[in-house]
Amino acid sequence: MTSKKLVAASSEPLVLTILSHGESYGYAIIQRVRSVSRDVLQWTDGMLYPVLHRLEERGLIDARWDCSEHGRKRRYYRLTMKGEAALAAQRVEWESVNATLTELWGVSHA
Amino acid sequence: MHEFESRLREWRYDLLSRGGVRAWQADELEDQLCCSLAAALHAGADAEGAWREAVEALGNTQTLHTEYTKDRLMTLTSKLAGFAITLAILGLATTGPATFLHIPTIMTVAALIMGGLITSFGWSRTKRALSASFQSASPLEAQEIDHLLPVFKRGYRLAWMSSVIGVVVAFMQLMGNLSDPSRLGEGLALVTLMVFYGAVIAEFVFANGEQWLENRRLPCE
Repeated sequence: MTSKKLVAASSEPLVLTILSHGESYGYAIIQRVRSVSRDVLQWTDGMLYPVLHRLEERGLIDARWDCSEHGRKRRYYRLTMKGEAALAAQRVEWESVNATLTELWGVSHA
Repeated sequence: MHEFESRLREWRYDLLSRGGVRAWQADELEDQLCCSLAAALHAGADAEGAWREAVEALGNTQTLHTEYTKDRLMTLTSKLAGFAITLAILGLATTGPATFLHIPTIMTVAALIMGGLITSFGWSRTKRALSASFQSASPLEAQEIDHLLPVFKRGYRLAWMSSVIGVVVAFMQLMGNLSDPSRLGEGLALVTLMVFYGAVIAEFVFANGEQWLENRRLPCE
């Protein structure tokens, strides 16, 4: 099971990446994370929303209200230009960490 | 979803009554809950099982309260830091922070303001207004903002009024000590501090607070 710290650290790049593919809402974002990670990354549904609100406060994403198929109000989120730049920067960081770890683990198994 | 309406209402009431989660945030979580319920029913769960599954996936109301409150503390920290920096610069630019610090005077001004606010709006609304402004920056429904803004407008007037009252009281004490010139300086300092605290609280606490609350207004769709 993935540690809480790692889940928390990866939440932001995950959300930004999913939104980079198009507008989405909370439930759909969580389902996407679960399906792509094959249930390895298990977020409590309620944990996602404070992350979304923080990203919105920082101007990385935008939101609008609409109506859901259940007759409830639904909030749709989309990536802003600032969010795209932040995602690009985070992607470089994560790829760098991933490359370093892959190299070290590759050497230790050799 | 019809069979879950009363449960959803109870869940929403429980969530909102804990504080920390706003109505629009509860709307969003409720939609999440409905989606999970629909998915569980579609997968073959019975009503009871679907509800249990959906609530477990969302997190119970206490967990949600903790998560949303944690988010607010970060914003409160940054606002307190702003005050601290302002006071530090003021202290460094003058003869030092101790010049401006007189606890009894601060408490007198604060008591006059809080007394006025609680008399006008009651403790509950005053507390909600102060926490809504200082503890978070997430969007808020217009109706709630309009309900809480008068607390700041009144607080602003009370802060200036308390400095006027304080000046009058301090001058009265000063008049009583005219025969002792050595106490004149102390009296005049008290008068000046009353005005200073009233002005600082009016402009830095209530005027800022009103703007922070206004900043949380949801944009018109």
